[in-house]
Amino acid sequence: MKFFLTSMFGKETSRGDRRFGLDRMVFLLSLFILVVTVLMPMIMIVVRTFFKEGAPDWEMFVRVVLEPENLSAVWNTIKIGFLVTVFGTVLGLFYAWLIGRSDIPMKGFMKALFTIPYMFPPFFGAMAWSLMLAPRSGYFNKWFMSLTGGTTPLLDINTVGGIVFVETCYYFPFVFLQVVSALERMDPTLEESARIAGAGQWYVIRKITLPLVLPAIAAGAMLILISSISHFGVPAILGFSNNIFTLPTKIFQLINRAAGSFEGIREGAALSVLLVVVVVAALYIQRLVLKTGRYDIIKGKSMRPMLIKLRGAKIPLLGISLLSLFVIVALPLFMIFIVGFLKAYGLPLTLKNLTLRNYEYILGQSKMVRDSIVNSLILSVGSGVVTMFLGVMIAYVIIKVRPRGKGLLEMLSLLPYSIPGLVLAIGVILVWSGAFGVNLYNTIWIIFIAYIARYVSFAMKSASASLEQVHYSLEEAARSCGATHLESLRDITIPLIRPGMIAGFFLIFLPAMRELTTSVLLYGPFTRTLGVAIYAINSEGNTVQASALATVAIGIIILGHLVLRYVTRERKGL
Amino acid sequence: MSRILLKNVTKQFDTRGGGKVTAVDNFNLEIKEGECFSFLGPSGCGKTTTLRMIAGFEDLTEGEIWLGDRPVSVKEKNLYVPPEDRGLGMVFQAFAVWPHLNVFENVAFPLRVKKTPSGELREKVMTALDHTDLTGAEKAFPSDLSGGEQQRIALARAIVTSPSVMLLDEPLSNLDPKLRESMRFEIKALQKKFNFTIIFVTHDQSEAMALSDRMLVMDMGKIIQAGAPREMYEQPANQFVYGFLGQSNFLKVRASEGKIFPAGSEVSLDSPVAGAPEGGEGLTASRPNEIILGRTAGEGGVRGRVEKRLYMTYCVEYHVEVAGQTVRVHGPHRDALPEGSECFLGFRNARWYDAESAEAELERTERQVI
Amino acid sequence: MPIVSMKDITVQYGKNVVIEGLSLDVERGENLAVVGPSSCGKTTLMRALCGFIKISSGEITLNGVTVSSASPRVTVAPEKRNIGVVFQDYAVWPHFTVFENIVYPLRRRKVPKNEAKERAMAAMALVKMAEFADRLPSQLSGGQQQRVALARALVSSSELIVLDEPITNLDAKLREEMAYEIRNLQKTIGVTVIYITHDQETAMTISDRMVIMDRQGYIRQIGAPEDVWNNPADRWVYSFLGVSNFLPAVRAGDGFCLLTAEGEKTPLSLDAAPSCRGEKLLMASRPTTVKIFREGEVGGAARGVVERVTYLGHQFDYFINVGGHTVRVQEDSLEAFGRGVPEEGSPCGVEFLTPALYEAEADDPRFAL
Repeated sequence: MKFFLTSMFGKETSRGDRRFGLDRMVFLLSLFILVVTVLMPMIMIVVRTFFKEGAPDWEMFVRVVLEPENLSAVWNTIKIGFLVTVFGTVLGLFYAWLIGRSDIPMKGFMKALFTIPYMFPPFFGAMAWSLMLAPRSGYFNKWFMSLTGGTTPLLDINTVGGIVFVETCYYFPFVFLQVVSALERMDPTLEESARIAGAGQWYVIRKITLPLVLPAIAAGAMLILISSISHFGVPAILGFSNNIFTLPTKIFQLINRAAGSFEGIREGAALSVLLVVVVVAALYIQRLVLKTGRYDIIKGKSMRPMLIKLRGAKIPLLGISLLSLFVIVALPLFMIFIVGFLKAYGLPLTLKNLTLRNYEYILGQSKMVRDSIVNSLILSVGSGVVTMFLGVMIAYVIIKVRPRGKGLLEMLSLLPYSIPGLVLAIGVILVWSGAFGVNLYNTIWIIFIAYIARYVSFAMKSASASLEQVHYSLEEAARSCGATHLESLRDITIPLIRPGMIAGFFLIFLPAMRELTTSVLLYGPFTRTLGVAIYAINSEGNTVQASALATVAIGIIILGHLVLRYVTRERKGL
Repeated sequence: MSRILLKNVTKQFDTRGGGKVTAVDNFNLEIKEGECFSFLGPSGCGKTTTLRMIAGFEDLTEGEIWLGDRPVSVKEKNLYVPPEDRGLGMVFQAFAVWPHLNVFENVAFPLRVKKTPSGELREKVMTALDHTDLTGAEKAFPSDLSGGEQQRIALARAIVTSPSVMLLDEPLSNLDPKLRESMRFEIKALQKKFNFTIIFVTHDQSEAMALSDRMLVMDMGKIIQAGAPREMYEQPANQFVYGFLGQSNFLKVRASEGKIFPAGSEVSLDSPVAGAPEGGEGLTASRPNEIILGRTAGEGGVRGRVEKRLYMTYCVEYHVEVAGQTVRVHGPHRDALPEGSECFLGFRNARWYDAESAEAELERTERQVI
Repeated sequence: MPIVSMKDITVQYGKNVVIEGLSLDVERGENLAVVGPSSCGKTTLMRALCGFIKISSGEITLNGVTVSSASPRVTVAPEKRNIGVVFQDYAVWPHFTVFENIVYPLRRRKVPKNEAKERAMAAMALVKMAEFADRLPSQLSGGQQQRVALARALVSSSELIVLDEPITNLDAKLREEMAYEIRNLQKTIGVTVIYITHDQETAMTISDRMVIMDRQGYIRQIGAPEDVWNNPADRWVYSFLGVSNFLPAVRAGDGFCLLTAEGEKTPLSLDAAPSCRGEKLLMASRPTTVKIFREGEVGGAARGVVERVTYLGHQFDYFINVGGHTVRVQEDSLEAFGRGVPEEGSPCGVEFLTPALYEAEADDPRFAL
């Protein structure tokens, strides 16, 4: 603490005196916001878990952790996380290799399709697969049973296996995208020199290509693992009915059951600490795996890598890829879309059973739904704008000002990456429901604050990436042309990072628009979000309306992505 | 055994617009055993594509390639031997040493592929490291080493299996000038020791001349001229080759009655110009170091005036104005002429290129600028 | 009055002293090259001059006005110094067109619109970029971007411009072209130019005076290219300037002798008595000033063996073994062919035309033969 106090108020500055005022102010402001939105909730969780009325209290934590129900949730969380990571990595690697190194046709098309799971929240997938494979009511199971005449379903999605399947479908692109980009940037002569040395294609893949992309694989796998461990939506939709709980759903259940009682929230906080411990353990494992370090594999003249000829396997592999893409991407979307038009869930999917009534209801009659759409729009746009500017501020301090204490700032801004959304929500409740004289509980503001904390890492990373592109000499050139510090920011730096800022905004707007995990704990009677509304309607059993509303959300998300695409295309022109 | 033969080799690439670009156009060449042969040309001339076809990284559109008595690419018979079965050594511009393997394992890789017994493997690797001055660095990782050392790893890796043909794809252009020169000698020394045939791709003419027994100059996928360095330097087939092989002046001239007059001058060059016709307009090509700079009219030569004098490390360069045109002349550091002084230029070894060739050349440079 | 005057300046990053006690005056209208090996502090020097970093002692004046000083503490902001700068990476703004880049300094300095446009157009014409006025920098080649940066610097200051040579610009032809262009511009408009480079060849061709800095950031020599080339201040400068041969020599009475193999001594003939002291000396020579005599030709006091012959087109490059030391020799091809190209392994006579003598360290390995 002491070192950054002196750096905040000490006299020495690393740059010119004239910059003191502005730069210092920006630094202190960013630090203040991060401490309030990110650090305080975390501290409050720990304090509430281990202290009771000011006195240390370990008992509650030990009791909660050792409760058999909770232990089984921990076990489920780890099991699901592990399986999803393994399957997702294998799947991602396979497709990455197919697209990055083989001569399979339709690469561009497939690559575009593979990023679609990225766009939609996994709980949409859970809903869709439930429509198809719920043990009794799922359409596929019903067809199967009417075909066989029996009562055993084809597959039961409401199982651990089902949860693993749906999460894998949504999380494998993490590995896929990381590895494809590593393969594309990799200097092809690294592989060619191995061929010249006498090694065949498979030998080269094993001994050269795989070790070189290992860091990318590990990074992608870790993203899958952390996402899966902290994930709420899929186990909530698929697991509740069969009493399958993971840590996030257990925390949700505890808080919900407690109905606002302080002891209930404390128990939720205790489980949150446990969840964070699991995530930190996962991050630590990643460190061990990545100990060998990153390699510099991008240099030399750009050349097309030699593609491996699939020959006879080309058509079967293409068939498998297209089929799996259909199952992973198209089928769930189609199911949600079509069910949204059904008169009632369970009716056969024929033309005469279709109607627009669901849309009429959700968009016209239900005030709750309309409110949720408005809330989500306000929250997404608001937190998008605010967080994006915050991210720019922090990135500017870290990259351009470099004061002492920038390490702390960087750490705080990246912390939310590894904090599960549910944990963050509990922390925000603990801070903003009166503990410090401000009670925002049940208002839209508490969700707003949670969103800022949740998405500040995205914003910071995106802003850093574009600020790094603005070499310091570009600003100095402006100074030497007679521009003051402020003028050089206005004329050079800001215009150059503007496309990055817009992209950064969408990187927050899009996930915020479909957000469920955080808002499901924070919403009040009039502050439901779109995600919460879909989830609630679905839980109430109004499947057709939930599907219709999900379709609306999909529409908004696709529109947002189109705009984002347009914006980032322009950016390349620079 | 290690003769390399290319017959009617053509390579076309598909463009994005659906058209075709010919990168290598009907390339015919025979490289003798033990020869050091350079492919020289500007970037995009097709030299690297040709090398990559020999290595087996690119398919041919037409033609055939033989290594020794063995066909490795024959389009007609659809024959294609993959790179790993061609038994070549190759060194790349960007070094292409594997960052996850240490020096020893990098060099040992080709032997491990062949499942060489460990005793023999160790011995061969150590010999290769010894020849490339890397003894003692076995355990180091490439990222700890300088560019020159990384390129030596690549060389050691290429010689460890004693291949009979070595392909070098601009191996020196990522190194600084001093290192570039010393590596040149190292490659030459390795060749003497191991007796392999070298194909050396470069855009640097002094590298090509210093290293090769024979060389060729390529442009736009075609061989413009092939021959021994001296032959090429002294008898360039056209203005492009002349310009590519060294510093050059192209003076606008007209020929009349067996004499050559700089455009706009009534005084002729007093020396013969090879290939000049009886009459007409054209260019006289000359090298700055082959022009004699006289101080008095008595020494003969065309009158000029020193416009600019540049002190350089290997000589003093004069920009001499002759009848409105500028000629670069190199002279010694001693007793350098001051700027503004009168001088007399005696052209030696000047060559004639006619106006058509000059126009083609102009078109070429313009195309390259675009 | 010099346009720039640096008095005893020291620059440090934290505890790392980059420049210590450096003094340098730049005369108005001159073309000064600051040359030194990479990371010798020459870019730091430029950044201190432009006001991007502070100096920890000493004083910098521009036109007699103090702009940087350690005590009393003065640091005039970069925008108030009126120095045109061409950065190592050009720093051409990618979101501005060529014209907008060049007119920017005038806009910032509140020059009336019409005049600004006129002056920017003139600068563009000067660097031959007028036809590219509406292009974005991404549509230009590296050389063209450098020209834009140069025009911008010229517009920014008609008095003093500082150019930091791009390190990545490996293309020798481009560098040479730029060097000519800068020299021409400097002669026509009379602006003072400080050119920072690691390449001694460029420094020699471009400058009126060159400042040679060593790796530690100290100035070793200042002078016109001819003077520096003909009379290098010390051995380090001699070898920094170009390929050089050093052979061991000793005093012998009033004269000097070259030490060749096995105690053999070859007397040296010198134009003028050298000023160096000491018994152990090193004789320096350049490859172009060593003459070799073939078998059968008369000449060359020292004897040697031709070890390596390399044909480079316009010249031959020889490695001659003289008493166990390798001597690099360059000979014009026409002359070599005229007199016959020596065979590798053949003996030859060697004569050093303009040798220089420098004092050797006591433990110089060249004496341990």
